[in-house]
Amino acid sequence: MADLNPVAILIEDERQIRRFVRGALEAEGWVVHEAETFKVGLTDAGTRKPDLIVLDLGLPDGDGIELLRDLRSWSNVPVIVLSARVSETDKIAALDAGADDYLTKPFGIGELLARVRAASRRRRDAGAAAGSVFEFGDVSLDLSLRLVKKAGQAVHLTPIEYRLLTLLVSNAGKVVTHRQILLDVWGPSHAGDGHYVRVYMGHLRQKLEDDPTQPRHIITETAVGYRLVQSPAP
Amino acid sequence: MLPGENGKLRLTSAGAEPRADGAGPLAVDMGIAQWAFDKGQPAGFGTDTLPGSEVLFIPLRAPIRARGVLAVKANNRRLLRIPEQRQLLDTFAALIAIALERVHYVGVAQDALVRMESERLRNSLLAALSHDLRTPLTVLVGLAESLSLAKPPLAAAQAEIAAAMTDEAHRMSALVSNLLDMARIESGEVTLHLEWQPLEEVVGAAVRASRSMLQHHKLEVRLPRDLPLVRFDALLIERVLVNLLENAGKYTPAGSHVTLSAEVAGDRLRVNVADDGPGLPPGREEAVFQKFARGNPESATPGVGLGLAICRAIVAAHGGEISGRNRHGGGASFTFTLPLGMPPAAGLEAATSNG
Repeated sequence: MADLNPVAILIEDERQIRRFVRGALEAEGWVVHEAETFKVGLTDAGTRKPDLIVLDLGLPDGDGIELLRDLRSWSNVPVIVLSARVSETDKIAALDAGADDYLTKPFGIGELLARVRAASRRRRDAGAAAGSVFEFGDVSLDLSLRLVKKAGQAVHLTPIEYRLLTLLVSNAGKVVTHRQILLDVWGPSHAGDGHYVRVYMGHLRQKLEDDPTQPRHIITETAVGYRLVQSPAP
Repeated sequence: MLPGENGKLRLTSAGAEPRADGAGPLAVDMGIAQWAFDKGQPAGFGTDTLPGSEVLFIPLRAPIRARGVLAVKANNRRLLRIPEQRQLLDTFAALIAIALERVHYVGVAQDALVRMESERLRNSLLAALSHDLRTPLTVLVGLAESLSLAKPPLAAAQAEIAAAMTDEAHRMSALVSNLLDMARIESGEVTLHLEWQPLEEVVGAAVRASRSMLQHHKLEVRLPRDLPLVRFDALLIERVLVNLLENAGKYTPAGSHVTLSAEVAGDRLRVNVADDGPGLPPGREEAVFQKFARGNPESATPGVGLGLAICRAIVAAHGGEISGRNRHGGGASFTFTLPLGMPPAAGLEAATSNG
């Protein structure tokens, strides 16, 4: 039975943080292995076949970004990064290096578990058939018909808006950085045109959110990127 | 004589002291000295300029620029008329000038080093503080929440204590963020990450971040659809909006109305956060922006009086202004402005659709 439980590796040097993160994950049915250093964490990631890695960026024995790059060269296990750093550039660097998500310290257990669930769901759905219908709020996106509806009414999106939406949907629950969006939607020649993303994201909100000034689904992670939240907390 | 920071010559202390032979300090005409310095030409005794002076002024010309003026008053003035003596004097002047220039650049290099070092120290101190304060706060929040989620569930009274611990830890964390931000802004080391963007987006993020503070208030956001793009640092302006919204939530009773609105006013974007609460204490409308100042110092509402000071520092760094006043109908109103410019084109596409 224990073999069926998903396995998480928790790479964090603070014992007390490990303690409550471990407790929260175990309550959700995870088998948790703790690692205090990057070195041990990286070895564990290779040997324990984890379904999830929770990684503190600020470990004393090295740079978490390097570990991520190393890990990503041979594994696509979901990684959630914990960061106590002030600067958003660290989070962007972690996401661009292949982290699936991040939490800024201090974070709540509810937040942690929501990110963990979203990351595992994405992994499970990765193999699911394209062409399924994706829904958030009263919006539905039929990928095979390229049809977007809000409250049952068809919504006309421009090609760029549509690509933005499908990019968010395929990363549902996860932060997509400005750079990732620019590369995917506009291509490498527009790397400096961050305002494109913001302007078109605004258009998308005006078409799909009830109140674009208080979006419930297309969420801004300021200075980092965007996150599509499928079922927002009430 | 050496130049001060403004390029005006001053007598060095050595020149102003009584001389060994008992005569008083050298009486020099600073006007002539300044002329010699500015023109880079000798003046005074034995030269073409004001030869009537008793003192000879030789500019100390170094490779980069003049470094000062040497004033020579000879007891035996005839000596100064001998070409060899003058040449010797000129050579001394050139040597002094080069020495002064070296001293100057050693000073410049040391200053730069000290500045780099103190900047590095400050940054690593802030980073360490941030890490060392946030780690225990993370543990507090996490452990307090673990209690709330414990199985079997805690009794109501204990659950309430656990929830209060969570809230307080979150509040302390907000305070730490404010203090660290203030320290960074004060140190003058904050680089603005200016980007053209719609205000709407940062408003959405700020409203989301302050929703727990405003859950018992009625918030209305009024933004015209056609606001131009504005160039600002999204994180910092979000901080301004969050501070203003949270203040509105903190200092007004539950059920109060809070309105966030924006409009174009000439070459500025004007953003306003207003409430219908008790308003600012009359006469304190300006004082509340000072560090560690609070509207009512005896207030039972927790806070240390940093929020508005940070707002002002951030808005000022963007070239805008922020002020507070009381509304005619009652309540406080805070307005800040951001300069508008020429936003870049938005990469428009042909209006085809997915249909």
